[in-house]
Amino acid sequence: MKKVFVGVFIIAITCLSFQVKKNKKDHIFFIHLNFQNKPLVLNDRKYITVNNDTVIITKLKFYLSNIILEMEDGTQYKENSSVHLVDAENISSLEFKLKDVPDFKINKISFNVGVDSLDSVSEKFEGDLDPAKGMYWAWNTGYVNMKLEGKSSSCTNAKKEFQFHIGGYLPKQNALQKIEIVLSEKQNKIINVELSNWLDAISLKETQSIMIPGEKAIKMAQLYKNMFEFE
Amino acid sequence: MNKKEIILLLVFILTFFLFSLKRNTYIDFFVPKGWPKPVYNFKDTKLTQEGFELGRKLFYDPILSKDSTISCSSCHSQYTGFAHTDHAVSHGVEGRIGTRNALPLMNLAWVEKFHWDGGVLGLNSQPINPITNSLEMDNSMANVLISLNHSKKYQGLFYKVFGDSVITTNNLLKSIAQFTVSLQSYNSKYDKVMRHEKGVFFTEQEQNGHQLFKRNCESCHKEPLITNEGFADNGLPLDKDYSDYGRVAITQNPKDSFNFRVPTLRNIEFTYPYMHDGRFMKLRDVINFYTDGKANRKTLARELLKPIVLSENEKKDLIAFLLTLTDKEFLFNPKYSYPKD
Repeated sequence: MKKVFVGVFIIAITCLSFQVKKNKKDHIFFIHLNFQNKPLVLNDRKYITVNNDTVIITKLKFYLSNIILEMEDGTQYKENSSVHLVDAENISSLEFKLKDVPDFKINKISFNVGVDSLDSVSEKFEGDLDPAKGMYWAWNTGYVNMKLEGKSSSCTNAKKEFQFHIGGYLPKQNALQKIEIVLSEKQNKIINVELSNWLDAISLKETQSIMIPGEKAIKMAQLYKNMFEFE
Repeated sequence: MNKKEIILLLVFILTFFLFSLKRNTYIDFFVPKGWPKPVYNFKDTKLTQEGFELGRKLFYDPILSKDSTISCSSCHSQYTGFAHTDHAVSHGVEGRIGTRNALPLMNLAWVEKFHWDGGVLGLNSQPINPITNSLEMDNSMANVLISLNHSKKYQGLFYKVFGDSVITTNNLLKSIAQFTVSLQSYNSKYDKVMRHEKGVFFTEQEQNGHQLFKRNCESCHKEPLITNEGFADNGLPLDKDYSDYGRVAITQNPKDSFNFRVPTLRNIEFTYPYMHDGRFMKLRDVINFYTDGKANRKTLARELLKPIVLSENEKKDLIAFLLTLTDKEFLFNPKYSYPKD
Protein backbone atom coordinates (compact mmCIF):
# COMPACT_ATOMS: atom_id res chain seq x y z
CA MET A 1 0.00 0.00 0.00
CA LYS A 2 2.77 2.39 1.05
CA LYS A 3 4.58 1.75 -2.22
CA VAL A 4 1.54 2.64 -4.24
CA PHE A 5 1.24 5.94 -2.39
CA VAL A 6 4.85 6.81 -3.02
CA GLY A 7 4.42 5.94 -6.69
CA VAL A 8 1.36 8.14 -7.07
CA PHE A 9 3.14 10.95 -5.29
CA ILE A 10 6.15 10.78 -7.61
CA ILE A 11 3.93 10.75 -10.71
CA ALA A 12 1.97 13.71 -9.39
CA ILE A 13 5.14 15.74 -8.73
CA THR A 14 6.51 14.92 -12.19
CA CYS A 15 3.27 15.98 -13.86
CA LEU A 16 3.16 19.16 -11.83
CA SER A 17 6.71 20.17 -12.62
CA PHE A 18 6.10 19.36 -16.29
CA GLN A 19 3.01 21.52 -16.22
CA VAL A 20 4.92 24.43 -14.68
CA LYS A 21 7.70 24.14 -17.23
CA LYS A 22 5.35 23.98 -20.16
CA ASN A 23 3.75 27.32 -19.33
CA LYS A 24 6.95 29.27 -18.88
CA LYS A 25 9.61 30.34 -21.24
CA ASP A 26 12.79 32.39 -21.47
CA HIS A 27 12.95 35.60 -23.47
CA ILE A 28 16.09 37.26 -24.74
CA PHE A 29 15.91 41.01 -25.26
CA PHE A 30 18.46 42.76 -27.44
CA ILE A 31 19.70 46.30 -27.07
CA HIS A 32 20.65 48.10 -30.27
CA LEU A 33 22.78 51.18 -29.75
CA ASN A 34 22.32 53.51 -32.69
CA PHE A 35 23.34 56.89 -33.93
CA GLN A 36 21.07 58.32 -36.62
CA ASN A 37 19.55 54.90 -37.22
CA LYS A 38 22.89 53.18 -37.79
CA PRO A 39 24.75 51.02 -35.28
CA LEU A 40 26.84 53.24 -32.99
CA VAL A 41 30.58 53.12 -33.65
CA LEU A 42 32.85 54.20 -30.81
CA ASN A 43 36.04 56.25 -31.31
CA ASP A 44 36.42 55.89 -35.08
CA ARG A 45 33.40 57.70 -36.46
CA LYS A 46 32.46 61.36 -36.51
CA TYR A 47 28.80 62.26 -36.20
CA ILE A 48 27.11 65.59 -36.72
CA THR A 49 24.15 66.52 -34.55
CA VAL A 50 21.27 68.78 -35.59
CA ASN A 51 22.96 71.57 -33.64
CA ASN A 52 26.00 71.17 -35.86
CA ASP A 53 28.13 69.68 -33.13
CA THR A 54 30.65 67.26 -34.61
CA VAL A 55 31.05 64.45 -32.10
CA ILE A 56 33.08 61.32 -31.50
CA ILE A 57 31.66 58.97 -28.88
CA THR A 58 34.24 57.24 -26.70
CA LYS A 59 32.06 55.77 -23.98
CA LEU A 60 28.42 54.86 -23.47
CA LYS A 61 27.43 52.87 -20.41
CA PHE A 62 24.14 52.73 -18.54
CA TYR A 63 22.06 50.63 -16.19
CA LEU A 64 18.72 49.03 -16.93
CA SER A 65 16.96 47.82 -13.80
CA ASN A 66 13.65 46.68 -12.30
CA ILE A 67 12.43 45.15 -15.53
CA ILE A 68 8.72 44.37 -15.50
CA LEU A 69 6.68 42.73 -18.25
CA GLU A 70 2.97 43.25 -18.48
CA MET A 71 1.31 40.22 -20.00
CA GLU A 72 -1.77 39.95 -22.16
CA ASP A 73 -3.77 38.40 -19.33
CA GLY A 74 -3.07 41.40 -17.12
CA THR A 75 -0.48 39.70 -14.90
CA GLN A 76 2.99 41.06 -14.32
CA TYR A 77 6.35 39.42 -14.54
CA LYS A 78 9.09 41.00 -12.40
CA GLU A 79 12.68 39.99 -12.91
CA ASN A 80 14.52 39.05 -9.70
CA SER A 81 17.51 41.24 -8.70
CA SER A 82 17.01 43.06 -11.93
CA VAL A 83 20.11 45.10 -12.76
CA HIS A 84 21.89 45.08 -16.12
CA LEU A 85 24.85 47.19 -17.08
CA VAL A 86 24.84 48.02 -20.78
CA ASP A 87 28.26 48.96 -22.15
CA ALA A 88 28.86 49.89 -25.78
CA GLU A 89 32.32 48.33 -25.49
CA ASN A 90 31.04 44.98 -24.33
CA ILE A 91 28.93 43.05 -26.86
CA SER A 92 27.68 40.53 -24.31
CA SER A 93 26.11 43.34 -22.32
CA LEU A 94 23.83 44.21 -25.24
CA GLU A 95 21.32 41.50 -24.42
CA PHE A 96 19.59 40.15 -21.35
CA LYS A 97 17.57 37.05 -20.69
CA LEU A 98 14.37 37.02 -18.70
CA LYS A 99 13.87 33.56 -17.26
CA ASP A 100 10.68 31.60 -16.67
CA VAL A 101 8.30 34.15 -18.10
CA PRO A 102 4.68 32.94 -18.24
CA ASP A 103 3.91 32.02 -21.84
CA PHE A 104 1.55 34.84 -22.77
CA LYS A 105 1.76 37.62 -25.27
CA ILE A 106 3.73 40.54 -23.81
CA ASN A 107 1.85 43.84 -23.91
CA LYS A 108 4.34 46.15 -22.28
CA ILE A 109 7.84 46.26 -20.90
CA SER A 110 8.95 48.78 -18.32
CA PHE A 111 12.34 49.37 -16.73
CA ASN A 112 14.38 52.02 -15.00
CA VAL A 113 17.38 53.65 -16.58
CA GLY A 114 19.71 53.69 -13.60
CA VAL A 115 20.00 52.11 -10.18
CA ASP A 116 17.31 52.78 -7.58
CA SER A 117 17.96 54.08 -4.06
CA LEU A 118 17.67 50.63 -2.52
CA ASP A 119 20.36 49.04 -4.67
CA SER A 120 22.47 52.20 -4.43
CA VAL A 121 23.07 51.81 -0.72
CA SER A 122 22.86 48.02 -0.46
CA GLU A 123 26.65 47.48 -0.54
CA LYS A 124 25.80 44.51 -2.76
CA PHE A 125 28.99 44.76 -4.74
CA GLU A 126 28.35 41.82 -7.06
CA GLY A 127 27.66 41.24 -10.72
CA ASP A 128 26.85 44.44 -12.55
CA LEU A 129 26.80 46.38 -9.27
CA ASP A 130 30.50 45.62 -8.72
CA PRO A 131 32.33 48.97 -8.38
CA ALA A 132 35.08 47.40 -10.49
CA LYS A 133 32.72 47.97 -13.44
CA GLY A 134 33.52 51.66 -13.16
CA MET A 135 30.03 53.01 -12.48
CA TYR A 136 30.30 53.54 -8.71
CA TRP A 137 30.50 56.98 -7.15
CA ALA A 138 32.89 56.66 -4.26
CA TRP A 139 32.65 60.17 -2.78
CA ASN A 140 28.85 60.22 -2.74
CA THR A 141 27.54 56.70 -2.24
CA GLY A 142 25.65 55.55 -5.31
CA TYR A 143 25.96 54.62 -8.96
CA VAL A 144 26.23 56.56 -12.18
CA ASN A 145 22.98 55.78 -14.03
CA MET A 146 24.23 56.90 -17.42
CA LYS A 147 27.75 57.61 -18.57
CA LEU A 148 28.45 59.26 -21.91
CA GLU A 149 31.88 60.54 -22.90
CA GLY A 150 33.29 61.84 -26.14
CA LYS A 151 35.05 64.57 -28.04
CA SER A 152 33.69 67.49 -29.96
CA SER A 153 35.20 70.55 -31.57
CA SER A 154 32.28 72.48 -30.06
CA CYS A 155 33.63 71.91 -26.56
CA THR A 156 35.37 74.97 -25.16
CA ASN A 157 37.67 73.13 -22.73
CA ALA A 158 41.32 72.48 -23.59
CA LYS A 159 40.87 68.79 -24.35
CA LYS A 160 37.69 69.34 -26.41
CA GLU A 161 35.95 66.64 -24.40
CA PHE A 162 32.50 66.17 -22.98
CA GLN A 163 31.62 63.98 -20.01
CA PHE A 164 28.19 63.25 -18.64
CA HIS A 165 28.01 61.09 -15.53
CA ILE A 166 24.36 61.25 -14.61
CA GLY A 167 23.03 59.80 -11.38
CA GLY A 168 21.47 60.58 -8.03
CA TYR A 169 18.67 58.96 -6.06
CA LEU A 170 17.97 61.26 -3.11
CA PRO A 171 14.56 62.99 -3.13
CA LYS A 172 15.64 66.23 -4.83
CA GLN A 173 18.38 64.57 -6.87
CA ASN A 174 16.51 61.62 -8.26
CA ALA A 175 17.65 61.09 -11.85
CA LEU A 176 16.15 57.63 -12.24
CA GLN A 177 14.04 57.43 -15.38
CA LYS A 178 11.23 54.97 -15.85
CA ILE A 179 10.65 53.83 -19.40
CA GLU A 180 7.49 52.08 -20.50
CA ILE A 181 7.12 50.69 -23.98
CA VAL A 182 4.24 48.90 -25.66
CA LEU A 183 5.34 45.88 -27.65
CA SER A 184 4.17 45.53 -31.23
CA GLU A 185 2.11 42.65 -32.59
CA LYS A 186 5.31 41.13 -33.94
CA GLN A 187 6.64 40.83 -30.39
CA ASN A 188 10.12 41.88 -31.46
CA LYS A 189 12.30 41.99 -28.40
CA ILE A 190 14.65 44.74 -29.45
CA ILE A 191 15.22 47.90 -27.44
CA ASN A 192 16.56 50.63 -29.68
CA VAL A 193 18.68 53.30 -28.08
CA GLU A 194 18.97 56.25 -30.44
CA LEU A 195 21.83 58.35 -29.08
CA SER A 196 21.25 61.22 -31.50
CA ASN A 197 17.89 61.87 -29.78
CA TRP A 198 19.86 62.92 -26.74
CA LEU A 199 22.71 64.81 -28.35
CA ASP A 200 20.32 66.65 -30.69
CA ALA A 201 18.60 68.04 -27.62
CA ILE A 202 21.68 69.66 -26.11
CA SER A 203 24.34 72.11 -27.18
CA LEU A 204 27.86 70.93 -26.43
CA LYS A 205 29.09 74.50 -26.60
CA GLU A 206 27.06 75.22 -23.48
CA THR A 207 27.05 71.94 -21.63
CA GLN A 208 30.14 69.77 -21.61
CA SER A 209 30.32 68.22 -18.21
CA ILE A 210 27.90 67.06 -15.55
CA MET A 211 29.52 64.89 -12.91
CA ILE A 212 27.37 65.30 -9.81
CA PRO A 213 23.74 64.62 -8.90
CA GLY A 214 21.36 67.56 -8.81
CA GLU A 215 19.05 69.67 -10.92
CA LYS A 216 21.23 69.69 -14.03
CA ALA A 217 21.62 65.94 -13.88
CA ILE A 218 17.86 65.45 -13.58
CA LYS A 219 17.28 67.65 -16.64
CA MET A 220 19.83 65.68 -18.60
CA ALA A 221 18.19 62.42 -17.56
CA GLN A 222 14.84 63.68 -18.86
CA LEU A 223 16.51 64.37 -22.19
CA TYR A 224 18.15 60.98 -22.59
CA LYS A 225 14.92 59.27 -21.67
CA ASN A 226 13.87 59.92 -25.29
CA MET A 227 16.59 57.64 -26.60
CA PHE A 228 14.68 54.51 -25.74
CA GLU A 229 12.43 53.14 -28.45
CA PHE A 230 11.07 49.75 -29.27
CA GLU A 231 11.07 48.08 -32.62
CA MET B 1 28.64 -1.94 19.22
CA ASN B 2 29.26 -3.81 16.04
CA LYS B 3 31.97 -3.12 13.52
CA LYS B 4 29.69 -1.10 11.27
CA GLU B 5 28.68 1.23 14.04
CA ILE B 6 32.27 1.80 15.10
CA ILE B 7 33.29 2.69 11.55
CA LEU B 8 30.34 5.05 11.24
CA LEU B 9 31.26 6.73 14.49
CA LEU B 10 34.90 7.11 13.39
CA VAL B 11 33.84 8.64 10.07
CA PHE B 12 31.58 10.99 11.96
CA ILE B 13 34.33 12.10 14.34
CA LEU B 14 36.83 12.53 11.50
CA THR B 15 34.38 14.64 9.47
CA PHE B 16 33.69 16.80 12.48
CA PHE B 17 37.41 17.21 13.11
CA LEU B 18 38.15 18.19 9.50
CA PHE B 19 35.22 20.56 9.50
CA SER B 20 36.38 22.28 12.65
CA LEU B 21 39.88 22.61 11.21
CA LYS B 22 38.64 24.54 8.22
CA ARG B 23 36.29 26.76 10.10
CA ASN B 24 37.18 30.33 10.87
CA THR B 25 37.27 31.53 14.43
CA TYR B 26 34.35 33.87 14.95
CA ILE B 27 34.81 37.00 17.03
CA ASP B 28 32.01 38.59 19.03
CA PHE B 29 32.00 42.35 18.65
CA PHE B 30 32.30 43.96 22.05
CA VAL B 31 29.93 46.78 22.95
CA PRO B 32 31.12 48.63 26.08
CA LYS B 33 28.54 48.92 28.83
CA GLY B 34 26.28 51.94 28.45
CA TRP B 35 27.18 52.52 24.80
CA PRO B 36 24.48 52.75 22.13
CA LYS B 37 23.80 49.89 19.74
CA PRO B 38 26.29 49.80 16.83
CA VAL B 39 24.87 50.71 13.42
CA TYR B 40 27.27 48.46 11.51
CA ASN B 41 25.65 45.42 9.92
CA PHE B 42 27.44 42.50 11.55
CA LYS B 43 25.03 40.06 9.93
CA ASP B 44 26.38 40.76 6.44
CA THR B 45 29.98 40.95 7.53
CA LYS B 46 30.68 38.37 10.22
CA LEU B 47 33.86 39.01 12.15
CA THR B 48 36.45 36.26 12.18
CA GLN B 49 40.01 36.23 13.43
CA GLU B 50 41.20 35.29 9.93
CA GLY B 51 39.15 38.04 8.27
CA PHE B 52 40.47 40.61 10.73
CA GLU B 53 44.09 39.56 10.05
CA LEU B 54 43.51 39.70 6.29
CA GLY B 55 42.00 43.17 6.60
CA ARG B 56 44.95 44.25 8.70
CA LYS B 57 47.40 43.05 6.00
CA LEU B 58 45.46 44.96 3.32
CA PHE B 59 45.29 48.08 5.47
CA TYR B 60 49.08 48.19 5.70
CA ASP B 61 49.79 47.06 2.11
CA PRO B 62 50.62 49.65 -0.58
CA ILE B 63 49.37 47.13 -3.19
CA LEU B 64 46.07 49.02 -3.11
CA SER B 65 47.59 52.18 -4.63
CA LYS B 66 48.26 52.79 -8.30
CA ASP B 67 52.04 52.65 -8.04
CA SER B 68 52.27 50.57 -4.85
CA THR B 69 53.67 53.47 -2.87
CA ILE B 70 51.02 54.28 -0.28
CA SER B 71 48.71 52.24 1.92
CA CYS B 72 45.76 53.13 4.13
CA SER B 73 48.24 53.47 6.97
CA SER B 74 50.15 56.21 5.11
CA CYS B 75 47.47 58.66 6.22
CA HIS B 76 46.03 56.66 9.12
CA SER B 77 48.76 55.77 11.55
CA GLN B 78 47.97 53.94 14.75
CA TYR B 79 50.02 56.05 17.16
CA THR B 80 48.05 59.13 16.17
CA GLY B 81 44.63 57.54 16.56
CA PHE B 82 44.80 56.41 12.92
CA ALA B 83 44.94 60.03 11.79
CA HIS B 84 47.77 61.88 10.05
CA THR B 85 49.68 64.26 12.30
CA ASP B 86 52.37 65.43 9.91
CA HIS B 87 50.00 66.98 7.44
CA ALA B 88 47.05 69.32 7.49
CA VAL B 89 45.49 67.52 4.53
CA SER B 90 45.96 64.02 3.13
CA HIS B 91 48.78 63.07 0.78
CA GLY B 92 48.46 60.71 -2.16
CA VAL B 93 50.58 59.00 -4.81
CA GLU B 94 53.34 61.05 -6.45
CA GLY B 95 53.16 63.57 -3.62
CA ARG B 96 49.69 64.75 -4.63
CA ILE B 97 47.92 66.74 -1.98
CA GLY B 98 44.27 66.32 -1.07
CA THR B 99 41.86 68.87 0.29
CA ARG B 100 40.87 67.49 3.67
CA ASN B 101 42.46 66.35 6.90
CA ALA B 102 42.55 62.54 7.19
CA LEU B 103 40.04 61.58 9.89
CA PRO B 104 41.09 59.41 12.81
CA LEU B 105 39.69 55.86 12.71
CA MET B 106 38.07 54.45 15.82
CA ASN B 107 34.72 53.13 16.99
CA LEU B 108 33.56 53.04 13.37
CA ALA B 109 30.78 50.55 14.13
CA TRP B 110 28.80 53.56 15.38
CA VAL B 111 29.30 55.67 12.27
CA GLU B 112 26.48 55.85 9.75
CA LYS B 113 27.75 58.50 7.35
CA PHE B 114 31.47 58.65 6.66
CA HIS B 115 33.94 61.37 5.68
CA TRP B 116 33.86 65.04 6.64
CA ASP B 117 30.79 65.56 4.45
CA GLY B 118 28.96 62.31 5.20
CA GLY B 119 28.83 61.38 1.53
CA VAL B 120 29.78 57.75 2.08
CA LEU B 121 27.04 55.58 3.52
CA GLY B 122 28.82 52.47 4.73
CA LEU B 123 32.06 51.29 6.25
CA ASN B 124 32.37 48.50 3.69
CA SER B 125 32.18 50.89 0.75
CA GLN B 126 34.38 53.59 2.28
CA PRO B 127 37.75 52.25 1.03
CA ILE B 128 36.60 52.62 -2.58
CA ASN B 129 37.00 56.36 -2.10
CA PRO B 130 40.70 56.56 -1.13
CA ILE B 131 41.55 53.72 -3.55
CA THR B 132 40.05 55.48 -6.57
CA ASN B 133 40.50 59.17 -5.62
CA SER B 134 43.09 60.67 -7.97
CA LEU B 135 44.61 62.69 -5.11
CA GLU B 136 44.96 59.61 -2.93
CA MET B 137 45.71 56.12 -4.27
CA ASP B 138 44.56 56.93 -7.82
CA ASN B 139 43.81 53.30 -8.64
CA SER B 140 40.75 51.58 -10.14
CA MET B 141 38.87 48.82 -8.36
CA ALA B 142 39.34 46.61 -11.43
CA ASN B 143 43.09 47.13 -11.24
CA VAL B 144 43.26 46.43 -7.50
CA LEU B 145 41.48 43.12 -8.09
CA ILE B 146 43.99 42.25 -10.83
CA SER B 147 46.97 43.01 -8.55
CA LEU B 148 45.53 41.00 -5.68
CA ASN B 149 44.52 38.08 -7.88
CA HIS B 150 48.11 37.90 -9.13
CA SER B 151 49.38 37.46 -5.59
CA LYS B 152 49.72 33.86 -4.38
CA LYS B 153 49.81 35.14 -0.81
CA TYR B 154 46.47 36.90 -1.08
CA GLN B 155 44.86 34.06 -3.04
CA GLY B 156 45.68 31.78 -0.10
CA LEU B 157 44.53 34.26 2.53
CA PHE B 158 41.24 34.97 0.81
CA TYR B 159 40.65 31.25 0.40
CA LYS B 160 41.17 30.77 4.12
CA VAL B 161 38.62 33.45 4.99
CA PHE B 162 35.99 33.11 2.26
CA GLY B 163 36.59 29.62 0.85
CA ASP B 164 37.31 31.21 -2.52
CA SER B 165 40.75 32.11 -3.84
CA VAL B 166 39.32 34.41 -6.50
CA ILE B 167 39.39 37.86 -4.94
CA THR B 168 36.22 39.87 -5.49
CA THR B 169 35.31 43.46 -4.65
CA ASN B 170 32.90 42.24 -2.01
CA ASN B 171 35.38 40.05 -0.21
CA LEU B 172 38.10 42.67 -0.45
CA LEU B 173 35.89 45.32 1.14
CA LYS B 174 34.54 42.92 3.74
CA SER B 175 38.04 42.07 4.90
CA ILE B 176 39.20 45.67 5.18
CA ALA B 177 36.03 46.49 7.11
CA GLN B 178 36.64 43.62 9.53
CA PHE B 179 39.86 45.33 10.51
CA THR B 180 38.59 48.90 10.60
CA VAL B 181 35.40 48.06 12.51
CA SER B 182 37.57 46.40 15.15
CA LEU B 183 39.55 49.58 15.86
CA GLN B 184 37.87 50.22 19.18
CA SER B 185 38.90 52.77 21.77
CA TYR B 186 37.18 52.57 25.16
CA ASN B 187 39.99 52.36 27.69
CA SER B 188 40.99 55.96 28.24
CA LYS B 189 41.30 57.39 31.71
CA TYR B 190 37.93 59.02 31.08
CA ASP B 191 36.37 55.60 30.43
CA LYS B 192 37.95 54.12 33.52
CA VAL B 193 36.71 56.94 35.70
CA MET B 194 33.23 56.59 34.22
CA ARG B 195 33.34 52.84 34.94
CA HIS B 196 34.41 53.61 38.53
CA GLU B 197 37.47 51.43 38.15
CA LYS B 198 39.47 50.89 41.27
CA GLY B 199 42.05 53.57 41.98
CA VAL B 200 41.31 55.71 38.91
CA PHE B 201 40.12 59.22 39.63
CA PHE B 202 40.03 62.55 37.85
CA THR B 203 42.29 65.22 39.31
CA GLU B 204 40.50 68.32 40.50
CA GLN B 205 41.52 70.08 37.30
CA GLU B 206 40.25 67.24 35.08
CA GLN B 207 37.04 67.09 37.07
CA ASN B 208 36.51 70.79 36.59
CA GLY B 209 37.35 70.38 32.89
CA HIS B 210 34.72 67.65 32.59
CA GLN B 211 32.08 69.99 34.00
CA LEU B 212 33.13 72.71 31.54
CA PHE B 213 33.02 70.15 28.74
CA LYS B 214 29.50 69.13 29.68
CA ARG B 215 28.39 72.73 29.76
CA ASN B 216 30.02 73.91 26.53
CA CYS B 217 30.84 71.00 24.24
CA GLU B 218 28.77 67.96 25.06
CA SER B 219 25.64 68.87 23.13
CA CYS B 220 27.57 67.98 19.95
CA HIS B 221 30.49 65.94 21.29
CA LYS B 222 28.14 63.59 23.07
CA GLU B 223 29.37 61.01 25.54
CA PRO B 224 30.30 58.18 25.45
CA LEU B 225 31.33 58.34 21.77
CA ILE B 226 32.29 62.03 22.25
CA THR B 227 30.36 62.79 19.07
CA ASN B 228 26.68 62.87 18.17
CA GLU B 229 27.60 61.49 14.71
CA GLY B 230 26.04 64.58 13.21
CA PHE B 231 27.10 67.40 10.90
CA ALA B 232 27.18 71.04 11.85
CA ASP B 233 28.58 74.47 11.03
CA ASN B 234 30.98 75.23 13.87
CA GLY B 235 31.67 78.73 12.56
CA LEU B 236 35.05 77.97 11.04
CA PRO B 237 35.78 80.82 8.57
CA LEU B 238 36.06 79.72 4.94
CA ASP B 239 39.57 79.07 3.63
CA LYS B 240 39.46 80.50 0.11
CA ASP B 241 42.26 78.23 -1.08
CA TYR B 242 39.95 75.26 -0.70
CA SER B 243 36.52 76.89 -0.96
CA ASP B 244 35.18 73.80 0.78
CA TYR B 245 31.56 74.18 1.85
CA GLY B 246 31.31 70.65 3.21
CA ARG B 247 28.10 68.67 3.35
CA VAL B 248 26.16 70.91 0.97
CA ALA B 249 28.11 69.30 -1.88
CA ILE B 250 26.36 66.05 -1.03
CA THR B 251 22.86 67.19 -0.10
CA GLN B 252 22.70 70.40 -2.19
CA ASN B 253 20.62 71.84 0.61
CA PRO B 254 21.86 75.41 1.34
CA LYS B 255 21.22 74.78 5.04
CA ASP B 256 24.11 72.32 4.94
CA SER B 257 26.65 74.93 3.84
CA PHE B 258 29.75 74.94 6.09
CA ASN B 259 28.46 71.75 7.70
CA PHE B 260 31.13 69.20 8.49
CA ARG B 261 31.32 66.06 10.56
CA VAL B 262 31.28 66.44 14.32
CA PRO B 263 34.35 64.29 14.94
CA THR B 264 34.94 62.20 18.02
CA LEU B 265 37.39 63.80 20.43
CA ARG B 266 38.72 60.50 21.68
CA ASN B 267 42.53 60.45 21.52
CA ILE B 268 42.46 64.10 20.54
CA GLU B 269 45.86 64.60 22.18
CA PHE B 270 47.36 62.77 19.19
CA THR B 271 45.04 63.50 16.28
CA TYR B 272 46.33 67.01 15.53
CA PRO B 273 46.14 69.04 13.38
CA TYR B 274 42.48 69.84 13.96
CA MET B 275 39.43 70.71 11.83
CA HIS B 276 38.52 69.42 8.34
CA ASP B 277 41.41 71.32 6.77
CA GLY B 278 43.83 70.78 9.64
CA ARG B 279 44.29 74.49 10.25
CA PHE B 280 44.90 74.30 14.02
CA MET B 281 47.97 72.61 15.46
CA LYS B 282 47.19 72.93 19.14
CA LEU B 283 44.17 72.27 21.36
CA ARG B 284 44.61 75.76 22.74
CA ASP B 285 44.08 77.17 19.20
CA VAL B 286 40.87 75.17 18.90
CA ILE B 287 39.50 76.41 22.21
CA ASN B 288 40.45 80.01 21.42
CA PHE B 289 38.64 79.63 18.13
CA TYR B 290 35.46 78.49 19.89
CA THR B 291 35.59 81.35 22.39
CA ASP B 292 36.63 84.15 20.03
CA GLY B 293 37.00 83.14 16.39
CA LYS B 294 33.66 81.86 15.13
CA ALA B 295 32.17 83.40 11.99
CA ASN B 296 28.64 84.58 12.59
CA ARG B 297 26.50 83.21 9.79
CA LYS B 298 23.04 81.86 9.15
CA THR B 299 24.13 78.24 9.12
CA LEU B 300 25.99 78.39 12.46
CA ALA B 301 24.97 75.48 14.72
CA ARG B 302 22.33 76.65 17.17
CA GLU B 303 24.33 75.02 19.97
CA LEU B 304 26.96 77.70 19.31
CA LEU B 305 24.71 80.75 19.21
CA LYS B 306 25.38 81.48 22.85
CA PRO B 307 28.98 82.66 23.24
CA ILE B 308 31.41 80.34 24.99
CA VAL B 309 33.17 82.22 27.73
CA LEU B 310 36.17 80.61 29.42
CA SER B 311 38.83 82.09 31.67
CA GLU B 312 42.50 81.25 31.09
CA ASN B 313 42.36 78.74 33.94
CA GLU B 314 39.17 77.20 32.65
CA LYS B 315 40.79 76.68 29.25
CA LYS B 316 43.60 74.82 30.99
CA ASP B 317 41.08 72.70 32.88
CA LEU B 318 39.20 71.87 29.73
CA ILE B 319 42.41 70.77 28.01
CA ALA B 320 43.30 68.66 31.04
CA PHE B 321 39.98 66.88 30.64
CA LEU B 322 40.46 66.39 26.90
CA LEU B 323 43.78 64.69 27.60
CA THR B 324 41.94 62.07 29.69
CA LEU B 325 40.39 60.88 26.41
CA THR B 326 43.76 59.43 25.41
CA ASP B 327 43.60 55.63 25.24
CA LYS B 328 47.12 54.20 25.23
CA GLU B 329 45.78 50.64 25.14
CA PHE B 330 44.30 51.55 21.76
CA LEU B 331 47.19 53.62 20.43
CA PHE B 332 49.78 51.00 21.26
CA ASN B 333 47.75 47.82 20.92
CA PRO B 334 49.99 45.40 18.97
CA LYS B 335 46.97 43.70 17.35
CA TYR B 336 46.29 46.89 15.36
CA SER B 337 49.89 47.53 14.34
CA TYR B 338 51.84 46.66 11.20
CA PRO B 339 51.53 42.89 10.74
CA LYS B 340 54.81 41.01 10.94
CA ASP B 341 54.71 37.84 8.87
